[in-house]
Amino acid sequence: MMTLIEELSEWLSDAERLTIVGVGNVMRGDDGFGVEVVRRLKELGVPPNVQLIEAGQVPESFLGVMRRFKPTHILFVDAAIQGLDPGELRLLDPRDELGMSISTHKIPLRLLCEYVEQTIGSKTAILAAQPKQVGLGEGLSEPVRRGVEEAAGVIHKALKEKLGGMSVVEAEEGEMLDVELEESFLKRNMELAEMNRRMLREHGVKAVDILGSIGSGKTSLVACMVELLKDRYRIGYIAGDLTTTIDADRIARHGVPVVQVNTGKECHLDASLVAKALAKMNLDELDLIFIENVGNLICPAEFPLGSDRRIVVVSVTEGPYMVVKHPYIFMEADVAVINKVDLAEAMGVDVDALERDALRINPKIKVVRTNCRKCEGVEGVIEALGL
Amino acid sequence: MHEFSAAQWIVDTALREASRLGVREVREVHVVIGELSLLNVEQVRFWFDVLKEGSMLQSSKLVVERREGRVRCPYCGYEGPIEVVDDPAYHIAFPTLTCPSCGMPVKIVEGRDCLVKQIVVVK
Repeated sequence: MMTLIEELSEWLSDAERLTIVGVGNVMRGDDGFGVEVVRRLKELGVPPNVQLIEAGQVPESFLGVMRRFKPTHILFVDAAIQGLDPGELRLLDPRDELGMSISTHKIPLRLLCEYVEQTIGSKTAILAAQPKQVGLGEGLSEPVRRGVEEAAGVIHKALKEKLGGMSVVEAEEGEMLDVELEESFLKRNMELAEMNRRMLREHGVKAVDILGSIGSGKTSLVACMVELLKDRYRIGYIAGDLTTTIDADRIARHGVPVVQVNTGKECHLDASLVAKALAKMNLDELDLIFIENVGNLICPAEFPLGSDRRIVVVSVTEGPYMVVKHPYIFMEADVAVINKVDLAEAMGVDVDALERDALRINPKIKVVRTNCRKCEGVEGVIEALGL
Repeated sequence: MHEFSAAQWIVDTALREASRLGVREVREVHVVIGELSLLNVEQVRFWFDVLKEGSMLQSSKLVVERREGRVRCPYCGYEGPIEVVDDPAYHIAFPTLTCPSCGMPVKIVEGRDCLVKQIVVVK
């Protein structure tokens, strides 16, 4: 059997640039293994063609940093239960059976590896240690502490052999430097949304997000759909709200699992908040998830969440210009719901005109008219979603 | 309207890059804000100044370059800028998203994003 250093050297044989990502929660005992290894490597020093990332519980947040570095190889360092002795190390191929990650990061490493292989084109591997204790505040166990030293030592040695020898140009102390970046605000979210999409697909879960302004009837629509669909699908609900749990409580009364996401200062849900919410749900026991965004017709349009279908809800009480004023959100939606049509006459709003506006912006959008207070027309929404 | 999250992301991106490079401080952060991005530049600046406090960015300047919005019309083939409705009732300028040449819906090809392009640091 090959030793760890031999395996690592072989894996690195065609490496030109390497990223090492420490994954796990340092607050939870041996789950801090990955991050501790990276910290130790920082002390030991690495060649300039090696990038070190302390990713903690959110390795997916560092996709942009990794891509810019253009690594040929990415090594994830993490703790995983593999039925070995505590502190014992293994170099794993992400396509192999990985054992059970105890890590609190929720996007499975295997998915992340697959994703970076496809998008960055890097070869990936996972260096995993068997943990002994993972309780909150326990610190590293003795065997895993030795594992950290061993892992850092082996990596350091392999790097010297395979990636060393490049010269470093260091700036003088106090010198000004221009650092070119090409980071995109929207792209970061889109990548995370793609991760959510993959994770949902992997579990065979359909997700629908519901957008609309404040008071347009998003929660009423969800309540109606839950009632009509709950015998056919196992449904879950994610409620986005600035601070309250009113919507979540309303839907919970229909007997479906609910996760509340309070965005605080943010005016929209983003893919990273949804990833956290999905982590709290048992996806194996769900077929369909409704994700209700914060009431807002502007910002949510810019932040896809990884769902399969998007519904945008407008109501006649918001006046006749809601559609034309918010083209982005209609451009990106699959179904437009015009709600409170029972009040159209009293409001003096022409529902046909609203429908024409939506179709002009997005000729493929399906427009459905509803009165969600009485669940009228909601079957049409379900049909438009193909559920 | 999501200027807070945009500014937070700009600050985080610059700080992450600066700490990766092990620099002493950041003097300038250059960003590109597209005309069709639905971001109000003055509010991004405001949040940037609030969020940089007490960090390596404390004395840094946010340099904003605007990028013109460009669209492509799948119906008549028009490619170029688009009219933006700057209604004082809103704090941002809204694109019309209809082709200036034939009036059909268009696709945005440029100017929707916000980019961190460069940081100037002191080693």
